Amino acid sequence: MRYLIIHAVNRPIPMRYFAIFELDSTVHWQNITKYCNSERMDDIQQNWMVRSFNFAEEALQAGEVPVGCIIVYEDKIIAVGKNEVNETKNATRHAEIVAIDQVLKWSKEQDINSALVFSKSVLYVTVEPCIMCAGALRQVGIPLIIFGCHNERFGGCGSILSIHDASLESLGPSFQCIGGIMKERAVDLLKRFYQGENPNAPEDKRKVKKDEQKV
Amino acid sequence: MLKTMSDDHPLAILHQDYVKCVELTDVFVSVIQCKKQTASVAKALCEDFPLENLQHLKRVRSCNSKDGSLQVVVCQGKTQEQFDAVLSDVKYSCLGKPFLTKVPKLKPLTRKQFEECKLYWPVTFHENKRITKLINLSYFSEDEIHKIQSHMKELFNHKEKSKTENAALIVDPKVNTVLATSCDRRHLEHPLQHAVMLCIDKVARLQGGGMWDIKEECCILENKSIKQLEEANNEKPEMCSMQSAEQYLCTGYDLYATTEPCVMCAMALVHSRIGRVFYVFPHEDGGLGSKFQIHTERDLNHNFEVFKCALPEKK
Repeated sequence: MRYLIIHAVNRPIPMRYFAIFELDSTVHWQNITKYCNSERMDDIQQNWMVRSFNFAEEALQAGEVPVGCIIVYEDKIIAVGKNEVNETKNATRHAEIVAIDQVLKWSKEQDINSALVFSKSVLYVTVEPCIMCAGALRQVGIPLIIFGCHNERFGGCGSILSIHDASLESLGPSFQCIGGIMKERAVDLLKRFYQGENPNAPEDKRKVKKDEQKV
Repeated sequence: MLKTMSDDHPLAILHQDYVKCVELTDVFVSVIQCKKQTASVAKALCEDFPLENLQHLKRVRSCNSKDGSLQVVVCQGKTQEQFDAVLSDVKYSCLGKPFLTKVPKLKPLTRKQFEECKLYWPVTFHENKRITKLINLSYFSEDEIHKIQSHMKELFNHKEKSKTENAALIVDPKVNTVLATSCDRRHLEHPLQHAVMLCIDKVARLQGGGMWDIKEECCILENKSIKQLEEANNEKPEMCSMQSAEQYLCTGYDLYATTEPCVMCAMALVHSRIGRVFYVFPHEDGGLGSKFQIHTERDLNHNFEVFKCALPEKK
């Protein structure tokens, strides 16, 4: 039944994946994930991911950990998010939490039940959601997450813990994940952040590495 | 009934490794038929078959049998052909035919595990004093217990006044001051506004940040604690760590919660670098002890102490 719901509402997922769901709905999600590698991504889905990267780039320019995301509902972006931890001095202000807040606001403005909106939405995020965000995503009831690279430090969708499909009845329904989409670009962004080199920064504001200073 | 101090002592939620029963593994053991050669045989075995992951095992043990015969660990994870070739050397002539014996797989981390290990094979044990105190309920002084109890009481008063299911409170233990209180707002159509998430955000707001702009209809104590803080700050500015530019997120702060935080809140506390967490009611899906022990997860960049406390007595 779950797959049928995805079929009906999550149109950004290319049609051929639905064919798999319908032919054999017992196929394990990992098999589908294998099929969904970047070469086979449809333009439309690739496009959603590119949009998420725009916000990750914005985060990098703002000196934040470069993670960006969008939430797509009925073929349109209803929420976007980028990391805002430094700006808010709140370490929980991850891109996903920002976007969830926006969906709640959007639903209120549109006078639609937010739970219904979440249950028909897809989250595209450049990095695997952390344990906290995975918990948050279960609580709002998003059924599907498409992410870029894995998060070896905090990942809650398989890397450190598997919150997305752990037995946590009180938290909300489990969700499906497709990872590894455009992962090279996501890793590259993170590397740029952790090296403290922001190529977009003005020349005089760029950080200079310690060993370069000595020379 | 008379209460002892340990009745009030918060119970530490430790990493599973400290709590679990002793795991066993098979090793080959031989009887040393000539006791005089014990030292030389043990030394030779240590060279030929080092005990890699079983360094905690003592190589030789004396048996309980009447003749007091000695046994030595020959090797682990080798086939009979492999060790027979080595044992055919004349220096091993005093060894009996090797047989399999169960020994503790991991080094003991607590005295209880040490005692259990010894039932199988003698092991070395380096006691961690902090862990022992946490287990023996002798970690906190009476004064510290009193402070913890009074914060817990304040939290439950707050919970009752606000008439919500969960409440949270953040304290700076260095100055014993409440920085923020919060209560659950999930019923107000925001699924993520758990008490802990709100409390973390209030600390962020004290530091000039914050993500949620909330009108405080259910948090009566909030204004009071900010006021208290300001007063404290006027009197002794150096005491107020929240004003210090060096304060980073919730570093060194204590969080009190009525119910065990969920996985989202538990990880939010990791991200916020919380110092310690105290809660009263465990939750079956909780992230700090019941379903997960996120605070002890070694792969994460920050770990912290978690304690389960008794329900505060009503006046």
